Amino acid sequence: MYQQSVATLLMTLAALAFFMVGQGSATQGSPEAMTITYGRSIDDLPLYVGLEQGFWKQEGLDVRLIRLVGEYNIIAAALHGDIDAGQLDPGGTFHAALRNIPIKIVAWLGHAHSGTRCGLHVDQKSGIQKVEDLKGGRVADSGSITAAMIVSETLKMAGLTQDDIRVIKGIKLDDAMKHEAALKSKGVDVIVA
Amino acid sequence: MLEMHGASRLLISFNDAIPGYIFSGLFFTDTYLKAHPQNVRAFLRGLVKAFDYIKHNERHARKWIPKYTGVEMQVAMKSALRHFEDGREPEQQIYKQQDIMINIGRLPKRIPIEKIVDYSYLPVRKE
Repeated sequence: MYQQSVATLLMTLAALAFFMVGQGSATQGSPEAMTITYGRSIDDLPLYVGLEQGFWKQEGLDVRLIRLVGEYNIIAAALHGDIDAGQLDPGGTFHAALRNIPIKIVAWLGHAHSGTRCGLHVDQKSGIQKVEDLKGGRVADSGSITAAMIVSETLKMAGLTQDDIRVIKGIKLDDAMKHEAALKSKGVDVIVA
Repeated sequence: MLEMHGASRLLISFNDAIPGYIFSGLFFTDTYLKAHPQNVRAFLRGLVKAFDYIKHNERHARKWIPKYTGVEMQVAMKSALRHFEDGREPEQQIYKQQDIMINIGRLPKRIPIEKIVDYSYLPVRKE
C-alpha cells in the first residue's frame, strides 16, 4: 500500500514536471539567445543594467546587444530574423504601422522630464539666448522626424514659423562627435541633440 | 553631453517643447511574439527590474555606462537620464506626438494605439 502511494506520488510529480516544461518557461534548460539592437548611448542604460545585474540570466535568457542604427535597417533586420527585438523612435513606429509592417512595441524606453538635457543646442558663445532669437538662425536638419517635431514646437512657442529660420540639410547627427563638429564648423547655429 | 564638453548650451529641452516626450520603444515582430511569448515576457520582467534598479540605485547604475558607450566616467555620472516608468506611456501622450507629426506633414492620419502597442507581455502594473 505504502509502495503504491509512493509510486503514485512519483508519477504525479513526473507528470507535473513534464507539464511545466511544456509551458515553455524561458527559465528552464539552457539559456535562450536573444539579440537586441542598441544605440551605444546613455539612453540604453536599462539594457546595460539588465546585463550587469544578471536580470535576464535569471530569466533563462542570453541577451546580446548589437549596435544598429536607422529605422529601415532595424526593421529589415527584425523581419529577416537577424535580430529578435529592436528600438524605434515613435515616428518610425507610427510609419511602420501605417505601412502594416507586422511589429509591435511591447515597452517604451523612457520619456523627457524637467531634467532632460536633450533638445536644441547652440554654440556656447552664440548670441541666441532665447527661442525668439531663432529668427534668421541656421538650424541643422538631420532629416529625423524627432528633430522636425521639436523644431516645429519650439518655433510655435516663439510665434515663429519654418519661414523664419534657415534649414541646413544633409548634416548627419547620429553620434555625439558629429554634434560637436557641426557646431564648431560655424556652418549652423542650432542642432538637435 | 555636449554641454559637459563645453561645446554647447541648451536653448530648449525636449520636455520644454513637448512635455513628457516619449523617445523610443522596444519592438518584436508579430511572428516572434506568437512563436516565443514566454521569452518576451521573461525579457520584459528583466527590463522592468532594470528600470526599477535605475530608479533606486541610479549612481551605481551609471557606473556601467562607460563600459558600453565609451563616454568618460565623469560624463556618465552627470548626464541626464530619461525617466523610466514601467514600459507603459499614457495613450494621450502617444496621440499628442502623432498630432504634432500630422501638423508638420510627417504623418497623414492618427494610427490607433492597438495597431502600435501591445502591453500584454509586460508584468502586471504595481498599484
